[in-house]
Amino acid sequence: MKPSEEQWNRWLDGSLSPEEAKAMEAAAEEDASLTADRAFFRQLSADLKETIPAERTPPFADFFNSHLQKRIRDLQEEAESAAKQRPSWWPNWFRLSWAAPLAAATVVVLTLMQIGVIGGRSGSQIVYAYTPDDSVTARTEFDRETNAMIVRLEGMEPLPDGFDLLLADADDAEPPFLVESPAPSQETFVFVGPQPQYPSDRPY
Amino acid sequence: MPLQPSLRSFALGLVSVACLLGTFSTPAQNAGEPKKNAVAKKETEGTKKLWGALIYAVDEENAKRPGFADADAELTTILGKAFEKYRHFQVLGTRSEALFKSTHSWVAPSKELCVKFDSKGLTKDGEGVKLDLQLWNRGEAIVKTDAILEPNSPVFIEGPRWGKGRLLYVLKLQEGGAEADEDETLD
Repeated sequence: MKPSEEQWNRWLDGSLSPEEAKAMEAAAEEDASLTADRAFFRQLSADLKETIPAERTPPFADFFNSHLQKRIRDLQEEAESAAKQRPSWWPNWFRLSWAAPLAAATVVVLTLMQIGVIGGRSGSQIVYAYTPDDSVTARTEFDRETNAMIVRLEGMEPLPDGFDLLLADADDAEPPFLVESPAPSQETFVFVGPQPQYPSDRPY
Repeated sequence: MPLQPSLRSFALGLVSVACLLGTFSTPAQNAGEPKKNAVAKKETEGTKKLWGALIYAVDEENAKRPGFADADAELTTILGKAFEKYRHFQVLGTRSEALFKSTHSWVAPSKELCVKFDSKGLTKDGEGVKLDLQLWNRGEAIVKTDAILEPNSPVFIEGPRWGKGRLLYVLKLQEGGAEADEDETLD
């Protein structure tokens, strides 16, 4: 069996066991081509040992060490710099010195325009809405298209289809159900039909 | 954690602009207010009125109530935009009441569903009116509001369902006071 290159190397280095070395010698003597190979590798090993020393001290060791440390520091700084330059949610233009105050002013102006303090919105407003009945909620919204303030009441009980709204007579000059402490000389308005019971502050 | 410089600038800018606007707007408005209001009050007390209409809104033509007129085309268009569920609007009644400060009054085309209001005076520009506005239903206040009514800007109140439709109130500030035409419609 022809020995492998690894076995040749170990043989030349003298790292084969005695049994392996004996087997290598026997194989080389049996095969003429192996004899030539053995001669070549022996010569190569001898040349290498003459040319390259087994140990070598690097020149300027201190300079080499300081240069290596500097290179390590440079690499660390480059990594930190790259981390800082990662894209964030904060827009790049916002880092400009004038952009933050300008954005702040825009927010204030838009807010004031929205609530009607500036900008000349002349529509009606519901400043505050309160529903005494907890089951009823009032939602207010300003409709720009109709320039109207809308109060949407939700949760009110529906009125039955036949419910009498007790509509006032359109021909009345004054609402007949408004009793405004009539003076003797004034005409007294009276109800026509059933009179509902209302709290005392109701004017009729 | 310290704020980023840009965020700090933004916050400072926000406060600065708010303070600046407050500084320039408030004294200027207050300066002329007493005299202007006094003049405006003298000139307009009782000369504005609150016009109100009780509207029955339905979607289907056959759900309309007999005996009541449809709202005019302009009011129908406006209400149709504000209350998109409904296409037909009938006027159940209208009322208008002159606005006098420190007295409460009613816009009550219906005795059951009506609007109570207290005038709290004119707005700073003398055009609008501040009101304590309430909707009453069957003897109880349903909603109480602090409102500012401006000319040409009505207030719509979406009231309860009634039968197949819904009752709405249209409230509008009008010039003219007690001598104005009571049946005047929405401008």
